[in-house]
Amino acid sequence: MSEMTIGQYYPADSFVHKLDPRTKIMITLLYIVFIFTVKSFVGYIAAFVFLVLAITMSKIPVSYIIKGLKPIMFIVSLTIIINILWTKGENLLFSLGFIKIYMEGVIVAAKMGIRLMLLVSTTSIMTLSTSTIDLTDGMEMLMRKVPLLKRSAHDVSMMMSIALRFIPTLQEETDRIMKAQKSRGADFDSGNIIAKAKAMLPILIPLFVSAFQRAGELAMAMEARCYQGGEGRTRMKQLSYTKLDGIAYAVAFVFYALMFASRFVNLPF
Amino acid sequence: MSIIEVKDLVFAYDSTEPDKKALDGVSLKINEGEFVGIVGHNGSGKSTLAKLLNGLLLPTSGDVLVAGMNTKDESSLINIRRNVGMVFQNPDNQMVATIVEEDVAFGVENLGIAPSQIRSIVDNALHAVDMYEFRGQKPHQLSGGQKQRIAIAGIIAMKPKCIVFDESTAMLDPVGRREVLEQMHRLNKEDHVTIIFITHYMEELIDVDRIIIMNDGKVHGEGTPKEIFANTEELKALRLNVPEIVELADGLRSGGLDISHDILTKEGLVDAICQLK
Amino acid sequence: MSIEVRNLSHVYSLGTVFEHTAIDDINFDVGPRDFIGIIGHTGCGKSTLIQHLNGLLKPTKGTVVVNGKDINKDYPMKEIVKRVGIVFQYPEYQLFEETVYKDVAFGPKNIGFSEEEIEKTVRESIELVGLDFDEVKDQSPFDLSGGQKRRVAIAGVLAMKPQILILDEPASGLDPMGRSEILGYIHKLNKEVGICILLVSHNMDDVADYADKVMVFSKGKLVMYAPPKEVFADVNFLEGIGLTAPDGKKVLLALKERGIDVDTTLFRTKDAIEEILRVVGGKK
Repeated sequence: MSEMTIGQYYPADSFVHKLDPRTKIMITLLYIVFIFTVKSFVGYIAAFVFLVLAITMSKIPVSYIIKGLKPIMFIVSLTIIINILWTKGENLLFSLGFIKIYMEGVIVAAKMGIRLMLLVSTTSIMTLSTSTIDLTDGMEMLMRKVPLLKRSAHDVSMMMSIALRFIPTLQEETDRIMKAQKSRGADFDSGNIIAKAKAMLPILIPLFVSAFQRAGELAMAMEARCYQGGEGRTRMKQLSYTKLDGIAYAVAFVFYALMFASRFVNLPF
Repeated sequence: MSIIEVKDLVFAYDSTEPDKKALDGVSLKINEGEFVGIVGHNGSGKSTLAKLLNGLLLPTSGDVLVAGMNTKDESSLINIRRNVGMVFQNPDNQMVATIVEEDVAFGVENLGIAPSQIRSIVDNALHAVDMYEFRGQKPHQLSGGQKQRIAIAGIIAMKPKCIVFDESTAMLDPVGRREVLEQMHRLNKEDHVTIIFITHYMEELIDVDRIIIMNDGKVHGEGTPKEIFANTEELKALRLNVPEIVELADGLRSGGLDISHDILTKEGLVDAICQLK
Repeated sequence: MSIEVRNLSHVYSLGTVFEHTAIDDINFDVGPRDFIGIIGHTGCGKSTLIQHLNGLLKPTKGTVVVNGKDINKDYPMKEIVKRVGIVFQYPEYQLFEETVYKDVAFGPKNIGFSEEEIEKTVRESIELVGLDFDEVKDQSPFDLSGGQKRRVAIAGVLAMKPQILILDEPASGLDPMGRSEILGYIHKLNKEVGICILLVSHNMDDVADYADKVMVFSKGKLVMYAPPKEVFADVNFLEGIGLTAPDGKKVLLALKERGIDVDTTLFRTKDAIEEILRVVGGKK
């Protein structure tokens, strides 16, 4: 859990860091859409090159991005296995009883796996290069453009930013409580699922108690600093598009075009 | 002139149990520019009192007036909180933002100040607590003392007339405690900010103007540090104590040495002993 | 019951950019019935060290031997925590059961005490920290006052009957009387029950009052391990690593500087009082 990098900010002075958060959110969203339109490996190459470019321009160490992939590896593996086993095709590669693995299945599985990893990597560049306040500001501004979301825009973004702010604090807290209970002989590793779930109570109860207490104190601290919701609130950092955002959009659209166009290129793979 | 006036204040947390009073008939005045310490055992009502001073809690009966404004008057609340800032005990539970400077800006932003001005207000506040170089950091990378200084910067950015420190040194190590304490004194001396400081550490109060003792929801007594720390026995009966130096002076006095009651510092004590020689 | 620590080092995030040596080549022995004070500036490695003493952290290098056995080789975790109890800072955050009795019984139950043993040890432990067993046993720990919660949490560790008890700032956040009460009970545990105590504290006067020996940590190293008299002898050294001397000691030193011939090896407030009375009072 302490390995989690999603939602954590990596400070650096880079092209990507300087972009307006709205730009980053939109580019990421569009990337996710286009990644699912990709049909051939040429498209994946385009998507991959875009990712490499984004990482380079963001000055975020690759190890950070890879670390961010770890927590989703389970989902990726599961997706790959399901796709391999479920997809039927013509080129049988391997068969054992009722298990039949086709070339087509392997390809579909590989594509799904790559899509997921590209998706998560790109999203983590966005979150790593954008402070949570910028991120939530960006979301708030974008949400305000959508009539249905307009009214709750501020509340949602404030809640998100506080949740992100407290991730490291609660991680430390969990670790602390876990160590304290281990010191009292608690055993979190042995026994069946029910025993294990039961063994989590000595951690979960104190964690909830403390989270509620923290929430109460934070609410009070915010009130003491004159918080009264989004109404009448100004911001130190004003979001404004610059030339850089134009460049970023232009580059991104070139890649989207490549990714989309790859559908119509007839290549054997 | 008094900045805060508390009149016959009664407060019960649970309205179904009005007899369980956290505060029971508290009246006091805090003068502008004063540095007041509040002490009392765990559960004596001091933190409750602090939260009533800026309308975070509202009186069950009685009144709290801040610069003439009553905390019961909802339309004045924002103005009251702007005048009476508050730094809490747990540094982790009062940071809203993930970046230091954005946290400092939070309060100012709530006041609706023009964005063009916020930047310089925040920078000045960070300079004032000597944390400017940390402006781009994440709060959880800072020490406890540094986090509290950021919390202070967030408050002074709002230019309050008075700041309440509710056990703000309790969770810090000695170095952090010293940092925060020095900051309080600087604010009081240089910017004439009224300081109300709640603490369990008696030695932090030897330089304050006045100490108020709370006991079981009531004001038990008040006086200058010299007056208060002259009654070691009485303080101990209230689950409090005196600074170690006073304890030492007391010991010498009961051993027959003629040491004055108003000695609070090491230097003062050493001088007094030397004069006896 | 004894602890022997040899060449103990711990490196966090080994092999990454965040690599950080928290403790470096630590060696010491703790004997039965010792009362050890552990002092050091925040981040000096004290908390990393104590987590090695009951196996919560594994050494990067070196060994921790409790009662002649290497705790990372010869003991399962349950056997270590039977012997070495740790009370972390703000231990009240570990309370979770419906009643005080059940919470205190959690530890002994985990390490396999019988029903009768549990009942006996829970009662004893609650009384050892100065609470009334019959009054609190059926209460919810969450309804207690802050000071009472702290004591119940300490009782929860005591109930496992450790022969070595490590406490990290057990009195922080309590009012002055609460502080001296807690320290008083810890002192009693050492003197009357015979439990070996390792007390981590920022308060030099507390360490001066209770500890037989003091460990001084600085930047991950154990820079001094000696009786308080020797540790507090070099005030300049202590101040250089972000610590200080007890107030009694400082007064004696200042007097000496002013030409009054007091014994500056003393450090406890009550010893300082006697010494000053001896030197100054004698002339009166």
